[in-house]
Formats: sequence, C-alpha cells, structure tokens
Amino acid sequence: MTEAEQDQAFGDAIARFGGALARLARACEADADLRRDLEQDIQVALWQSLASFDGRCSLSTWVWRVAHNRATSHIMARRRHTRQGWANIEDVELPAEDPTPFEQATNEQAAALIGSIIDRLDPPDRQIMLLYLEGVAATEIGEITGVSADAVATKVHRFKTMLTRRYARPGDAS
Amino acid sequence: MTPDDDDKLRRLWSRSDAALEPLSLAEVKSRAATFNSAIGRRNRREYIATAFVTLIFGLYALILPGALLKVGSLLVIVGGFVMAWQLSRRTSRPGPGAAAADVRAYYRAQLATEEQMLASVGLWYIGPLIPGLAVFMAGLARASGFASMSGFAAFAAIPLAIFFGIWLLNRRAAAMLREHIARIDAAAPATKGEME
Repeated sequence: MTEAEQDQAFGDAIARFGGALARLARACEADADLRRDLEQDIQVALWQSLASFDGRCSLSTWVWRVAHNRATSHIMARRRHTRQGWANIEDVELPAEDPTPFEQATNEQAAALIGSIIDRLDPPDRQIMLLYLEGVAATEIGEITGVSADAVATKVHRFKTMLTRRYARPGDAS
Repeated sequence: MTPDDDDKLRRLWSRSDAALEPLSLAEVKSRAATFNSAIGRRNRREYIATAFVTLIFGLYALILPGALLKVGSLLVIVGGFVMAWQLSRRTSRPGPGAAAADVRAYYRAQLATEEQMLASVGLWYIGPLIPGLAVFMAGLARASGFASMSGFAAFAAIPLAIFFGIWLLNRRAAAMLREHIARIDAAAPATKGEME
C-alpha cells in the first residue's frame, strides 16, 4: 500500500468507525484525559498498521482488531491491580436482585448495568460484547477476536440472559 | 427485555454523543514517528532509578578508597545499565503487523510476554546487580572491619532479603498470569498454529 492509499484508507476508516472508536475508548477508560489519549493512540496505531494492510481480511475487520488491541493494551497497563477480578462471561454473576421491568429502568441504569458487566470481563470477552453492541455480525466478531462464531453466539446469549434476568418484561417480574 | 432485543440494546449503547476527536494526518504521522513514547513513559521510573544509581555509585567509584569498593561501584553501574536495556528490550511495542492480530491471540501474547518477564526477573532485573553489590559489600566489610562473620551476615542479609522479596512477589505474579492464560485457553481453545 502506498502512503497515499494508506492515508486514504485511514480517512475512510475514521469517517466510518469514528463514533464506534469513541465508544470503545469510553468503555475502556473513565478518565476524560486518558480517554482522549487512548483515542489518539488508536488513531496512530491504525494509521501505522494500514501500511501493512494486504487485504487478507476486510478493512473493517482490520480496523476493529487494531483498535481493540490498542484498547486491550491500554486497560492491561492501566488496570493491573484490578486484573485478578476479571472473568470470562460464563463466570460473571450479577448480585441477586428482583428484576425491574425494562420500561421502568432509565437508559442510564441500563447503560450502567451493561457497563458494569463489560467492566468485569477478560479483554477477549469484553471485546466480543463491545463488538456485538456495535452491531458486528457473529462471524466477523469471530474473525476479529479469534473465537469461533458458535462461541461468540454462546457468549452473547449469556450476556443477554444476564440482562434479561435483571430487566424483565412487564408480567415477567414476580 | 428479551434475548431478541438486539436492536434495543444497540440503540441504547450508541445513543450517547460519543464522538472521536480526529487527529490531523500530519499529527498522526508525527506521533507515529515517536510511537514508543508511551512505553518510554511507562519505563521512566526505572530509567530515573538507573540514572540515580549511576550517579551515586559513580561518585562512590571516585571518592571511596580501596579497589573492591571502586570495582563494586562500577559493576553496579554496569548492572543497572544491563537491567535498563533488558527492560527496554522486553517492553518494546509489537510491530504494526502484530497490532492487527486477532484480539484473543494478541491478548494472550501480551500476557505471555509479561509472564516471562516476571518469571525471569531474577535473571534480568536482580541478577545483573548482584555481582556489583556483592563486591561492593565485601569492600565495605573490609574497610569497616566487621568484628565477626555474623555481623557481616546480618549486614548482607538486608539487601538479600529485599531481592528475595522482589523475586518472590514477581514469581507469584507470574504464577497468577499463568492461571489467567490457562483460563483464556480453556474458554476458547486456540486454533491450530495460532499460538506460534
């Protein structure tokens, strides 16, 4: 890839994925200054990586991988002390509470619960959930994360089941 | 909420006004030229400590009497540089190709690198300082004339205990990382050839 093509691909990627990259940074870093640093670090890593982009995977898969790997490095460096608390999605349990009808939960409450689950996950599972929330298909999530599409579907199902138990439909809560 | 509420979840997730502040291409390229600066910042404390050790033991080599003290001081300085070089070598950032590896392989490789660093801390972090400190302490013992062997042993036990504590803590951290790696492998077994 020539440098002009690299610049063009970078511009396209930022235009297409900019919002998702911002949400990724938000999910990985609460501190505003450090979040901005992470966003910038992702952009630099992305531009630099595109020099070796050879089309063996789609551009979107490439962008997701680079961005999520930089985010993973960031949380590994920033949160060494909490790392022992991370777990696979299969091992995460929410505290037992009565289910709340989803319609009664505020968006902030629901978003906070999603964030709290994601925050407890090992980076590979964390990235799977974030990619799912971005609307990436299970097959591509598998390609990005190195996990089979079946395993991705199982993990996403577990994630949704946890939310379902907490936020019941009207009539489900007893 | 039902398990089929994918759209609802995704709308909730993307409803925020999170927006990327794009860097200009010139800024991106400028930062790419100093891509390892973040690693450098992370290691800065160690480099400052090395500079401090160099300064102190450099002064010792100049002003303290006796060959053992001078040689020991110089060996400590050399050991400090070896340690800093090893730290820099072992924490260098993966290249652009590795940056686009799949997420699980990348994370596992990062953990494995860290585990190897911690497990071998005696070799590359503590080991290079031992010869210089041993010679230096022998020089101190000779210059101060310890009355008994037990007095020297007590004197030598302090740094040895510190080094042993560092070694032990790092070995423990390495063992925890090995457990972490095993958990990741168990959760999603690597495809053939992936772990090369």
